Amino acid sequence: MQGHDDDQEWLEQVRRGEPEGLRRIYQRHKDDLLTVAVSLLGERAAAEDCLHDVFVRFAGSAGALRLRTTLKGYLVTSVANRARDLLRRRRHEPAGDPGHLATAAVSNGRAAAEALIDREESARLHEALRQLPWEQREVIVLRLQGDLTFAQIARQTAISINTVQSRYRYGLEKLRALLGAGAER
Amino acid sequence: MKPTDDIEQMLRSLRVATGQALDDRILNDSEKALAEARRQSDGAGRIIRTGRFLMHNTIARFAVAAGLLVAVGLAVTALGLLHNGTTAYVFGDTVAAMHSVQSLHLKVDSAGRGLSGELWCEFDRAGELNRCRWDCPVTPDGYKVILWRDGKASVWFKDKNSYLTIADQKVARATLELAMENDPRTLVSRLEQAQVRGEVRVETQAPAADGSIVLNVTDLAGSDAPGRRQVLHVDPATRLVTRVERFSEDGELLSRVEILAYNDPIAPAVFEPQLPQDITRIDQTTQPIGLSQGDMTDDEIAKEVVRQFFQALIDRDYVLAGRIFSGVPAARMEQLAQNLPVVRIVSIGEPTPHEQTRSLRVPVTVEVEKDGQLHQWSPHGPFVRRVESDPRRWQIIGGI
Repeated sequence: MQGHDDDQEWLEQVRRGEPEGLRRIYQRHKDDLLTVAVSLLGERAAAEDCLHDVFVRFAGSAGALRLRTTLKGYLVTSVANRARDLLRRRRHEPAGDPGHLATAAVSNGRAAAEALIDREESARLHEALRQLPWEQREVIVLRLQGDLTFAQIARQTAISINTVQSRYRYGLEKLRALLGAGAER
Repeated sequence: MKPTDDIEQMLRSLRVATGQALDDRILNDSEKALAEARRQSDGAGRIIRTGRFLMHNTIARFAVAAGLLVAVGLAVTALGLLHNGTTAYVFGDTVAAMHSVQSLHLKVDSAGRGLSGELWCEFDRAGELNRCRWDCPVTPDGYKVILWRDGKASVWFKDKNSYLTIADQKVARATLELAMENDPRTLVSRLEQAQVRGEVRVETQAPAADGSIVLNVTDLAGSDAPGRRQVLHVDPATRLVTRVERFSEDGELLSRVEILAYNDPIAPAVFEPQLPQDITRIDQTTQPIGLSQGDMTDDEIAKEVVRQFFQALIDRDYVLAGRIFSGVPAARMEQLAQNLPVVRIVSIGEPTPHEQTRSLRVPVTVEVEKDGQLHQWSPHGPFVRRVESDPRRWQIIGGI
């Protein structure tokens, strides 16, 4: 639990107004949070905005923050909540563009090679995720990429743990069907 | 690895990293928000004695901290001077020894955070990389082999039985860079330069249990990741690096590189692997991608690219469709097209700029036949833009 202890210490720094704690928390969690945001939103630019909003809000309100879970759990849930808001707001627009994920990444150095190597499978995964209903996508992403337990997800989304598990199971089945169909083609 | 094999694992291994610009934007805005919250909190009417206030005031705290840092900094510098006699000597030896390396073979364990595998490198007498091969057995795309020869980078997707030669030099270089991050010869050379610029601190530790010399390298403020640490194990006899361990700012192990051999002859087959006869090859350096713009305006070529792409699908000309779609091989294009049985182009609209992809989005509606029924379908793209390595040509980059 070293990471959790560090988070607590850095959160205390943030509560005291010390930017160093903020920077450390950001450095530790930024990639995980962006990964969750991209999977939920299906689009890197929107995901970056989501991460930005969550972190700025966290910085502004950390003094009054009373955690009921781990700091990472709180931040991951905040990303999911913000992503849901963003999707509601642009419901008339396409939900995502997996092609863009690769393209955006190809536009710069290190990411370019990673994108080249992984983009095909990543794009298919993101595309498949995009086709899931929000409720299933949220549970799968929070569980597998946000590292939340089913109980934590149930608490954060205010639904029963049985419902969370059902959504997870059905979502995975649908993903398998989507990706399996792609593999057979 | 088939996509259905382990979806949970695949999803867990998906990683999207932030970039420097995003980091700067978020940290800058967050620190402003933090300062503002602090200001409001301080201005909320709390009665605080002056001395206590000073210690809670950010500026005052920084002033005190800065004073302490100067003192600590002086002490560290003094210690560094005492220490540098050994450090410079050992590290200088290692720098010199690494210059003698003409080939190497190493193993990378990324501790589940990145790509693990084996790397072979061959250098010329001037120390320039001649050839290299990087095997990555476990990736979301299955087993991959990255090869660098004759100034070209290629990727052999073993599980997908395809072989891609990359035309875009920027991408090719970045691919090489990914591999060479693990090369101790390159690493030592870069550390030497970073030390001169004051971006890293190199300290020599007492010999390890196995007798090797241990160098602790810490990234300093001004570097990409202050606080990140690398530990280099050096053979006391040859002064060559035998192992490198990388740790995050938080002390978590990021990767371990173990050098298996220096200057051993590398079998030619390593760099010239025997590829399966039925492998799908796509050579971006010899095959033109996209369509030539000719005299057309940007909008005209964007529409033409989309029109020809869907017409090619209707005509089952997967060579052309694949060439327009970023150079996807015809066989792969044919597979993808099975899910998109286009029978007619209904309409193609006017292109509009799509900033996120730095491309033009061309609205299109096509008629597809599925289960004997005709449906109209409009993708959220497609997104069309110039081919980076040949700006006279245009391609579809996604959105279908």
